Amino acid sequence: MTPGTAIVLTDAAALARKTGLHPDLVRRLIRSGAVDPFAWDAAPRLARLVRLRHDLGLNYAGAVLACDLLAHIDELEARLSRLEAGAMRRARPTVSIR
Amino acid sequence: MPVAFRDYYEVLGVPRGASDEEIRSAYRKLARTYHPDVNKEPGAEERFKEISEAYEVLRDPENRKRYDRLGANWKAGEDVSGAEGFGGFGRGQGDFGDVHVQFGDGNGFSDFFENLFGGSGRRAGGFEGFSVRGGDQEATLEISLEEAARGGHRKISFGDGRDYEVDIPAGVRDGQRIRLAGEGGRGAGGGPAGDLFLRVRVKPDRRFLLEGRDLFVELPVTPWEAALGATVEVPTLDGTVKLKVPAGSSSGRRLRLKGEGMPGPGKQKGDLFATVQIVVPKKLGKRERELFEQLAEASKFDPREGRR
Repeated sequence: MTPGTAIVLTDAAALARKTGLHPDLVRRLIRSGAVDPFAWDAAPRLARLVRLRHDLGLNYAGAVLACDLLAHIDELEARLSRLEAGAMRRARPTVSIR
Repeated sequence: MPVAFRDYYEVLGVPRGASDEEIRSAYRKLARTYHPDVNKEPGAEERFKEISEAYEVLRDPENRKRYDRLGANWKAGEDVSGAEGFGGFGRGQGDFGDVHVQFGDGNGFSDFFENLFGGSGRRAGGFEGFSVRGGDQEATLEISLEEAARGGHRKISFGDGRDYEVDIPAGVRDGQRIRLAGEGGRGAGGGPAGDLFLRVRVKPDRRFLLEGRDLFVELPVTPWEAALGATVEVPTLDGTVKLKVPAGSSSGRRLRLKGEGMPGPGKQKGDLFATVQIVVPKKLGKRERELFEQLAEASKFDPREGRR
């Protein structure tokens, strides 16, 4: 076994623990490229992937696409809310002097 | 114990005679809209649970038949506990009486469902041993600048009956998230629950402008205070401090009060900047006018010099 494999296996076990999924399923999804085991959001992404597949009847390819799009929307929404908060502060008049 | 009737057809928006295909397609469509991974609106998870429960019953011919036997005259919410054919199934089925405990996936199906089907109507999931962690949820927590500075307790209620007492750490910053572990979406098949994150929004303050850890406040002064120098009171987060305005301060001059800004992690503290703003009286008294006129006569000062 190459050292690289060992890391992936250990990581799959940790991910399985965090997501409550079966380790074999986690390994299969890592191998298929559905999730990067070293990404910071690997566990929530994996759990979401399986929930979407299970609840919406998506296949794994569809669930992977949905996860990518949802992550992208999260990112855009976070950016929008930062911009809006900034704009609100800039637009606010300074303390009025009577 | 009264048990509220659930109109599963109404939940899915299909007629009682709907085909399996129509039911599946209605479920898929609603599930896509209300799935808690897709829809972050409060109440979406509750709605999704209702939809899942309805589909769980109507997708299966046996369960659907059992449900239909209750009759078509019930209205959602009516007490169905005394109805014929209700409550006799599921729970009392000897060997199977405990099955739903094992299969119990924490989905929190209604009393109505549990009474009608007990454990026997529930499938274990898509495949044997299916279990998965619940989704993370996020909500916004609006706090005042004072609360952000001092920290404190906050009671939070969600429409679905969840109540929390949250500790707001002193010096929390706008956009930071407070994590409530295990309070997010429920896991399925014994999987752990997700986390609930409260994203902090510091409300704009009437007096202070917040930039990072620094606070900015306007400091109105009279023309003579600005010209001659003066000691004036400046509001801070904790009260007021006396600040010396140096002689010859024009509007816009920033005076720094070290460590009077927002507290940070550890001992770091932001600063408070008071921006001088010269204010003249709207109406001058007789004596004031005379003195200003004398000043205008005597002074050679021209702030616009060099512009021409």
